[in-house]
Amino acid sequence: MTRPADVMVEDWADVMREIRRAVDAAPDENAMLPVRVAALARLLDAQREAETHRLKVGRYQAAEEEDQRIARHLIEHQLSPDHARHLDDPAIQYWRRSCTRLGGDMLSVGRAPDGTLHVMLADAGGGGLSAYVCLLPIIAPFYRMTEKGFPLATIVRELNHKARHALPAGRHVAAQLVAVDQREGILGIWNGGMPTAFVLDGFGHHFQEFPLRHAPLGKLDDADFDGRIEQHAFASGEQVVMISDGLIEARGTGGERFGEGGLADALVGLPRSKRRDEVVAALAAHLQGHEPDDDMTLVLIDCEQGGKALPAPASVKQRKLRHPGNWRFDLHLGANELGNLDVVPLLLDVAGRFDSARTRSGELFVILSELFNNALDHGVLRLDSRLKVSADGMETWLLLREERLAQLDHGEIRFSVEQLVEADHVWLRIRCRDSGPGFDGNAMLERLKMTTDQASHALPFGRGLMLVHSLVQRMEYSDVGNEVAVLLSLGEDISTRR
Amino acid sequence: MHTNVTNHDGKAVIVLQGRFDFNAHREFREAVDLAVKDGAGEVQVDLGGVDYLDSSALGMLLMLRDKAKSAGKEVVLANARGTVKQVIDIANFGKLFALI
Repeated sequence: MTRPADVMVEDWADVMREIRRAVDAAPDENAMLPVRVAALARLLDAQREAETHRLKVGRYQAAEEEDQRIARHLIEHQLSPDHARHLDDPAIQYWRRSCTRLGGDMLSVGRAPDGTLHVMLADAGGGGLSAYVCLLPIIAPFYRMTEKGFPLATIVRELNHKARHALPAGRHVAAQLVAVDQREGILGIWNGGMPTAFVLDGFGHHFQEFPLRHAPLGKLDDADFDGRIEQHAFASGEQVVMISDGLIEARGTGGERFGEGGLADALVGLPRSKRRDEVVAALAAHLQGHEPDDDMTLVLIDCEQGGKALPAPASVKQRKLRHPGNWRFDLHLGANELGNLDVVPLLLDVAGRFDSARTRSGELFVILSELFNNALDHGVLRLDSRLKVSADGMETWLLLREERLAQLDHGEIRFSVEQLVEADHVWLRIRCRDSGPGFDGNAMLERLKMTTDQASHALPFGRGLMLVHSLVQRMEYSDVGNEVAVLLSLGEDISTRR
Repeated sequence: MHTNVTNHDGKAVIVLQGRFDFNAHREFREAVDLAVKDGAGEVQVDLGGVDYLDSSALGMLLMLRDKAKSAGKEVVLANARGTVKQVIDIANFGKLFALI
């Protein structure tokens, strides 16, 4: 006799059949009938309960899948309407495979105004809708700051700040950010909680690694956060490889990891164009149809020197105003004018008369003001920045400045502001030169770059130079150091398309 | 630059308007002295009306911070926008001041 509790009941028909079988059974078994009916009733209850549960789970799963679909769509499209266009960047090849529950990998790509390529691979971990929601605070600032031309170190610091304040305690976002400056041939990487990124030479051999060095975004307070960027001077033909941990940890049918070894084996000896497909094929062979537990992402970034060339900013040679939209003005100020004129608003006013510069007056003010004040304070008035360090430093400084300005009988500052169009891109070049002895401005800039994220706010001086450096695409001092030239991107040239 | 100091809900508010640079030093120092003398525990600098700001303004804000600190007060920078906000961000002032 079958024991009712073991019967898998598919539907009511099965139940009825079982009862009928019990009733039709031999008379000596009829004594058992009440017992069997009771067992069947219990079975029915269990069945009904299981069915209700199954429906609930199904509804819950459908709702969760829908939530995840919407979250991903919003993040990919809403936060960056140009998402697809950025991912099509010719310097990038990528491959992604999402696991069914969505692992939280997100790839973001943007170009700074000077052409520097920024790539961010983030992994919110945990999976599901919450992983995607955790990406929200960092994706939009990444795009916005990249478009505005902020350096990677500043972006990383801001993303950490945003994540720190927006995410609930205990949630962080692992991220790896890469900047490829094709003009300078410099690669910058910040790795917070992601697998080691590496650079391959033209033959697919590793030769430079960028291991995990930092905590994920959102884990540390601003004061403890280390946003230093590792740099590598690349040669044309090299390629950066970024991966998410889902790819390294992918388990084959025997439970073994794909691993760093599997990845390296797939890449070695291959030209750049074949590497992505080879890794994908090796991974498929490893997984053998096994469903991955986490999102897997592979990003390959080509490093090529060259790209959009900027006009040489410190060139003393005069450029002709060949382009019909080009303009230029020069201002020479002697001792008398320096003492009596409010120079910065004057320069800003003239620059603001030109269409291309009008909308940029906020940045122009900072640039003109800092360059002018540096030239006046140090070049002409020969004030020492160390004065500012003492307790009443600011007061002392200002009094001395007024005193020397009133007595000024020699000295000169020259300003030149001009628009240049090169390869359909509009630049504003601002040069400032003073009659002083000059200083090692380029070395000062280098020092400032090193401290940008460490304690820039605490610098008693150099703050002005740092501001200008952050706002412009190029900044250079002459050898003597009494002349500085900066280039500010004004965007694509539209004058010829009107 | 135009300055105005008010007491608002128990905090001293310095409202600035126009160009915040070297030339604004005297007015700003007077406003700071007034605001720090105020009984309030917080000094708020309303930057909503500031069109331009440079590194000397950043230096003045640090001076305010020092003065407020020795009087046991917090400084809050409010309503920065556009390039003013950008400059404050580049200078990492979020580490030194509360920004709202």
